[in-house]
Amino acid sequence: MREDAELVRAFAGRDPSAAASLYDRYAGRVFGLGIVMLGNATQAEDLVQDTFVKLWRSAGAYDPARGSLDTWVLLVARSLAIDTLRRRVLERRTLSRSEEPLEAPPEHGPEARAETADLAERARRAMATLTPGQRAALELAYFGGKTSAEVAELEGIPIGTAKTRIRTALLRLREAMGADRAM
Amino acid sequence: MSLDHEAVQEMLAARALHALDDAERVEADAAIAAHLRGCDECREATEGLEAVAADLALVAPPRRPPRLLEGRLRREIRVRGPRRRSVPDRWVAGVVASVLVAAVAGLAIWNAHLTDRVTTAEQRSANTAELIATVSNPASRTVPLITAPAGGPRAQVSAAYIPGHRRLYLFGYLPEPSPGRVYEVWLARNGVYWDAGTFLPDERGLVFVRIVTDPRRFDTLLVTLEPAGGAPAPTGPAVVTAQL
Repeated sequence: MREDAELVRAFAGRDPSAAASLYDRYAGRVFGLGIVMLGNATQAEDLVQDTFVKLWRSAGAYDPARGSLDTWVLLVARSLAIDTLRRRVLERRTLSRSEEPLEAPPEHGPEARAETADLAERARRAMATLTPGQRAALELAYFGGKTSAEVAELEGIPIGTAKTRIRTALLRLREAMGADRAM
Repeated sequence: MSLDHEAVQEMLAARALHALDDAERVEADAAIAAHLRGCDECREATEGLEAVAADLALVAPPRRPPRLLEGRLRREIRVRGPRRRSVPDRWVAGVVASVLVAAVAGLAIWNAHLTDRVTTAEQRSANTAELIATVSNPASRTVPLITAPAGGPRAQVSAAYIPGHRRLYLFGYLPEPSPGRVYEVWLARNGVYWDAGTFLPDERGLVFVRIVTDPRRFDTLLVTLEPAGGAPAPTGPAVVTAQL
């Protein structure tokens, strides 16, 4: 398997095999994130397209020393999804509506790499360690693209409590995922 | 140190999740930058929290995207190499040229590049249409950015926006930065800087940056050269700037 930095460089240079490799590895992940965050397949498709175009245009900014390729790709995707969410001024989508039936991971390609699958499992386990209040605040902020103030309003709690729940949840996740990594 | 440790960590967590609105982010960035200078723990926490935020995306189960999407994407980024200019592209390029020349006399150099470069990428056509819609609006404002000495003579960038709309566009020409460097856009109000993101010109130096914010909330726009990945506050040389 190519080194990530080399893969990104080749992608920036329009190497078809690099593009195919990145697509196989991340398109399903980004599309799945889009379904959860945006709640419909059309916008999830746009998210995949926008993400790859942005990755291509900003490939020169990728620095493997600052984080993994997984991290970079998913941060770009989530940031774009939040932009989309925040443009929906009038929409009042609930998280429960976005939880569509699970579908098996894509069959094709090597995107379900063991390392990523393992990280995904650790992330899910870490989420399970949160209190219901922390989890709700985190999900609203993370997958719902809500600001702290909007989380407070939706949860009917003071904004300070919302901020504290978000902070505590994220710190607990960091600890839980770090501990898992050490095992 | 202006804020206590816990308050800064709340800001760090909210910022990592993008759970701050624009105004909060301006304040948070300034407070965090001030605090990080004297707090190793928070400096380490910053990258850790952002990494956790990225890992959280993996909680969403992967889904198979439609088969046609990959082909659409390949066309978009032209991984199969350059293609011939199509008739619609030429038409778009012509419209771009005429509208922009009429609307913004000061953009001749950018426009000359644009008519040439708009040939293939659908994304660029979409960007161009968006920009045309903005600069051709009678209420729009176009502000030429002043080239700072470090920016060199080849920089030519303007900002455009429609008052009341939450979009600010940067467009024009900038030389390719040296390896490992990127351009970073900053918006400032009363001396407090807000990081509006990093960008690189395309292979010919053309710039198109869309910033989702109300520009009237800021008094200054600044572009600096920063290390790849960007900086939490302006550290590099100023390239172009404007009073909004």
